[in-house]
Amino acid sequence: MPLAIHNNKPGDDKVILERYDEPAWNNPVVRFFAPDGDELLPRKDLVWDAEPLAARMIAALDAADRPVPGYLRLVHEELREDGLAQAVFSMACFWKGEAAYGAQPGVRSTRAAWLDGREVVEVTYDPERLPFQDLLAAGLEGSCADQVWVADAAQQAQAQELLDSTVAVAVRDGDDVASDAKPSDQKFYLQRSAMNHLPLTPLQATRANALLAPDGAPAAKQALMDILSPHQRTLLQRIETMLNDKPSALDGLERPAAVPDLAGYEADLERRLNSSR
Amino acid sequence: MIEFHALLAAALFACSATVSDETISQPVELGQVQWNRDHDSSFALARSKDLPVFLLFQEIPG
Repeated sequence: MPLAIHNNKPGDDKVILERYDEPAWNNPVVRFFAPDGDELLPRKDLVWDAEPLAARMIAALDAADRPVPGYLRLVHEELREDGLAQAVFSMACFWKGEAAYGAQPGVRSTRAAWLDGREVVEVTYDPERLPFQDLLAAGLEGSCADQVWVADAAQQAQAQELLDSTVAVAVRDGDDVASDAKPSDQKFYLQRSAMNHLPLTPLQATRANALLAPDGAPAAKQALMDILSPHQRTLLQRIETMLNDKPSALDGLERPAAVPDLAGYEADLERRLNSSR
Repeated sequence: MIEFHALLAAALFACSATVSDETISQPVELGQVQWNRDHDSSFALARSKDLPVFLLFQEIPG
């Protein structure tokens, strides 16, 4: 329940400001309350960036003993942008590779590509959440680590501990540039779903593609809904209704990969959805 | 980061529980989330829907 009180206005705003002992003309402050008025977290000033604010939203829900929606956890994860690492893995099919790696908590994005004539997936991940060895173990379990390109000699040693000698482990240098697979091969399973028309963040798209893979977990349908916000779920229902009536209705409307472009994309999507009324 | 925040909010959280069904134009500082502005009716609605309250104290214009 979002409630905004202006901290520099007379009248009702001033009455509420004084009731909460909040200073006037202050920088923004967010506080969290149970419906009965109990404050869920100690008041904290100077929380202006999105990542710590998302962390406090999650902490408030935890304090209230309420479930934390999967989409909020993804947003929080995606807002932590420091310390990310990359590795490249080859496998028989990069469609399967993107799904295998994209399902791993701690993986931020995947890209289907070609390197040395092999189908590969470039994986961007958070090593604090998912150490390289765990990432590699997940790839091996999914038969998606035929060859590995790592960032440095330390990772190379870690990889060689887990791999038999038939799997080559190379340290990536400037020549090991994985060239993009064609657009129709990127996020292959997502592209064949109505969800592909949603304004999704890169991490949501990565997870959705993994959950839509044909050998996804039995609970994938529920997991798919959990990574969407209520707003996105409503949009998805409208998209599905439109596509059922006219499968080509959203042709030519391509979801952008970059977050700054999502708002404009959603405006275009709304125009299409409303044009059928 | 702030731009990323605002855009995510628009994409993910644009729909929210509000006391009024009307979409009211609001200051740019409040972004695209549809905010409630009346304290007591907001808490009454929070109790009826069993929702926690995200209470923002914001300077307008800020």
